[in-house]
Amino acid sequence: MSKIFQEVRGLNEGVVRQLSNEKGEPEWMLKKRLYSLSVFESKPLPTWGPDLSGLDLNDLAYYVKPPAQTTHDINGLPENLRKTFDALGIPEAEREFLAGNGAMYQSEVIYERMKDQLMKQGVLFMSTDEAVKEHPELLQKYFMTRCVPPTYHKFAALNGAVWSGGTFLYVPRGVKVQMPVQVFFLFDHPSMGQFEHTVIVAEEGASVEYIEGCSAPEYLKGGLHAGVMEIFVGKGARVRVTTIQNWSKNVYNLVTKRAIVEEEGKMEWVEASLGSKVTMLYPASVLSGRGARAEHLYVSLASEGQVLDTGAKITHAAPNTSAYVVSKSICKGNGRATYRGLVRVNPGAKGSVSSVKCDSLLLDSASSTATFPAEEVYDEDSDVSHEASAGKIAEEQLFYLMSRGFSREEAAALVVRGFMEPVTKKIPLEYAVEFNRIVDLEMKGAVG
Amino acid sequence: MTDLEEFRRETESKYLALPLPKWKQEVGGKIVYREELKYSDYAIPLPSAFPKPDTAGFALVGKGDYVARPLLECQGDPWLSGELFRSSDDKLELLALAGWKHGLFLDIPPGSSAFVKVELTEAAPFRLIIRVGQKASPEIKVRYFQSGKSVGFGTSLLQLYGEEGSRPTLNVLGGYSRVEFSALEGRLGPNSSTRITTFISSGDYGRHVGRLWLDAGSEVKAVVGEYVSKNSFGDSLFSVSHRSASTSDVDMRAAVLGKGVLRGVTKIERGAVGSKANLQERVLMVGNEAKAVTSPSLDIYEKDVQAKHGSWAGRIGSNELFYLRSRGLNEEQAVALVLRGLFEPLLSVFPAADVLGDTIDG
Amino acid sequence: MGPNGSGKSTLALTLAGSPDFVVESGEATLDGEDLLGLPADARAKKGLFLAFQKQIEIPGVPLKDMLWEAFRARWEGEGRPSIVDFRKNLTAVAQSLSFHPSFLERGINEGFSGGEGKKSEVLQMLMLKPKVAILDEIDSGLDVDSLRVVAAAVNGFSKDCRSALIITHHYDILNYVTPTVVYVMKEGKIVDKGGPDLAKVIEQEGYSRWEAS
Repeated sequence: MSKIFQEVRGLNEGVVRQLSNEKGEPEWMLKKRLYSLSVFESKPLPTWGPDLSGLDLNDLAYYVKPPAQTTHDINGLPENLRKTFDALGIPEAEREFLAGNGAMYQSEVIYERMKDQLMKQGVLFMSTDEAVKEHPELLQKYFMTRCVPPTYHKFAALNGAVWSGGTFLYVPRGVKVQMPVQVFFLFDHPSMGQFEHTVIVAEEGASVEYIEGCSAPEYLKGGLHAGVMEIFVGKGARVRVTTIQNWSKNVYNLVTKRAIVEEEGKMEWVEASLGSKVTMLYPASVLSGRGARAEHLYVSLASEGQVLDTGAKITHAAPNTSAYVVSKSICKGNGRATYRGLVRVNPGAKGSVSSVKCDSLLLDSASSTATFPAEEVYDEDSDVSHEASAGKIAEEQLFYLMSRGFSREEAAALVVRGFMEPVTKKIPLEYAVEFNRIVDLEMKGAVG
Repeated sequence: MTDLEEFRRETESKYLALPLPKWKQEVGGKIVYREELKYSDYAIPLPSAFPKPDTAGFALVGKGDYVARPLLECQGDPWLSGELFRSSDDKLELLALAGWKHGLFLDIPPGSSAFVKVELTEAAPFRLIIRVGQKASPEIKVRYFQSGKSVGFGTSLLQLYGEEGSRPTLNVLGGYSRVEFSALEGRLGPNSSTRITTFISSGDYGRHVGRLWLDAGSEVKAVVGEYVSKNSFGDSLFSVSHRSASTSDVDMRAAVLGKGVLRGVTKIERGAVGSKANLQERVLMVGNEAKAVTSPSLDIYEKDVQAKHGSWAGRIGSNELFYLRSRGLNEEQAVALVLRGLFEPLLSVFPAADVLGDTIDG
Repeated sequence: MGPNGSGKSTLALTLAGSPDFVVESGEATLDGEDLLGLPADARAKKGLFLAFQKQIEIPGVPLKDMLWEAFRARWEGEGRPSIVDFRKNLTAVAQSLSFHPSFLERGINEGFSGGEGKKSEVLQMLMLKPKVAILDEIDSGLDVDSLRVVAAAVNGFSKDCRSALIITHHYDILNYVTPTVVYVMKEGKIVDKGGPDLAKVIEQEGYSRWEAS
């Protein structure tokens, strides 16, 4: 079946109005979009990070409208996504996909199965577009208000103007969702911009785990993924978000993720970055209530031509809060992985404890890495530490494993696995298997 | 008019025309402007003219083989002229390069193991250039510290050139003005081995920059200490660049009662195979007005290296305080003891009274 | 045997194929087959094993997983034990060495004390069953009980028609293991060869007999 898309390139007020109109949105959402557009236009491109000069914001399709309710079969899916479904044990027959809004695909069957269970518990799980229509009061409370306002930065504003798709996941008081909620994002059109906007709310005492897989087939011209994720972790609640990112290597992946964590709440971010040409990813946790905690675990593999710039932004805004960050990156070819983080302890945030550990492994002579952490401690009653290391795989580790009969390549793959282990052990098994497989593939021939 | 006088006059005009920098910071090789604590918050203006330079201003005591000459008398020296006539587009750097009152060139000939003590006798902007000849292993102590800061504004520029195989030990005790901009530069030649220990106790507002460039086979061990008193601001940047296989070990320690910023930058360039770098920052915050910013960064372009860094900021642990108090010490005494422990590597090099002077009184 | 700095570890590492050393002349063969032309893993597959003196840590790679992979790779043909049997055997061997089974889950040598590190090496030797095991200072850092347990393992191992080359500079392990041949190394050269009595001499006189004249 052919896909007929109506595409509009370039961004202006007209495009935003048309988009909102076609979605049948209420006035308040249109207003928010227009405001975001004006913020986007007023801010310059950031220059403190990776080079974004290859990104032409005028030459992107900001809204692609697919034929409504089209079902796509598995043959249209990229290889790696298909393998993930294999690993998840989803039978062939059930792999039919529902096109939401042209940018996000969810497995209808999984969705249906989960939806029933969740609905019984009062959990709301739907696309953000649906949420605008069906739960406007709830969404208005959370959507781009205090977590990621349009003024946060340029690409958050862009998302605010042209967002489409994404997940709205609302877990009421005391409800603990047992099974992880899984979603896949897929680029399906060259030069498309993808701007999903996900909102996750866990009320007091709730707990939920959310897993995102992203992928795109290879196209000649890269796209832009400027997604936004806003998370509200209520008192004593727990939210874990795992993202396995494997965009094709010509995509600009500039995402905004932020969580506000209340008293005794816990936020866990697990980020595995494999793809994209340039990634700028700085999940932020605002520890706004006493005893709030955050854990950020990152693993990235920067290969030929990739620049993966990631970091953690932690704000200790209440007493006795704690944060724990581990970032493991591997660079091969001329890939570059950079850690850029900020830990801030506000005055009055007594008893805050924060520890950041970032390590980089360089495999080739053209590989490079950098870490630019900053710790701003404005209350002396705190304990803030940071450690980083960079270098290549130690020859003696390779020799040790070779003396047990492993070839040099096998030994390197083992050491790399061990290097990533503190993070990969938190990734659900099926995804971890797939992730390790991709890394092993990339590792072939990587160690001279 | 001599060449140098003419150069200074031109540079003074250039300096006056340049704008005041908004507080700029180096982040990953790029300049980033941060608004926190602007210099203009402190009511001491930058000088409106360069001081008239003279040949005095330093007291020297030493033994062994060395030569000391005022910079004013060095303009004919081919080796020095490049430095003496160096300019900049940065207002403060220009001030340090050309707007000094006291200038001295300290030349340690090859093979010498001289011992030299240089002391600034008049609190005024100065520039000190030290050349350490091949295989020389001098011990040089520089003191421009005054505990009561009489002068409002000061700059200091200390430049160390270590030639091949040199093994200098340099100790610098600084902090003489209420607003101070100081810079320490080290160009460390092939197979050299350098020990640097510095301690700066600045006045109301201090920005201190240390930069080292390491050549093949060289190694450096540096201990950089800082004391930032209550209601003061101190920003120390220490940057080490490995251009070829070299080793660095930098230990930055600060006791902060006001606001202290510690930025350690390690850069390893491609081809610097086998380099080892270790940079540690430790900030002890004392009193509830203390604020600290640490920012150790690594910028690595070569895989065959071992680079690591670490930072810690916090206050004296309640357990440690309790332990000391249970031995009969009051809080002030306990804090003083812990600070003594923090600055222990400096105490073997500098007089304890200078390092701990402010702290002993509480 | 030989005093500190006599080159015993260098010899062990060179035989195993360490990248730190280059052989300029001479030969080394195992059962008539050349070793020096082979990379370290090929030598291991031919039946050589080195218990390292200096503990090498490989964090995040569980010891039991590495052992299974290494074991599986060298088993050709039918009859290879299943992973379940292998694990059972592994646990039994660990117990015989008083090596806590939880250590099998940890990264290789990660956070091990000196004694635990040595036991880890002996455990690997027993599971991989090489033809020749070079044990570099396997006795250093072990308490008396651990020494006995390790010595018993070495004796059992060598009964199996396998050889062990024990490198040590003091006598203790030889209270439990009787060597067939004793070589003495000094300043990089083998200066003497003898039977178990030679070891006794060293225990009593040290290495003074071979002082440079």
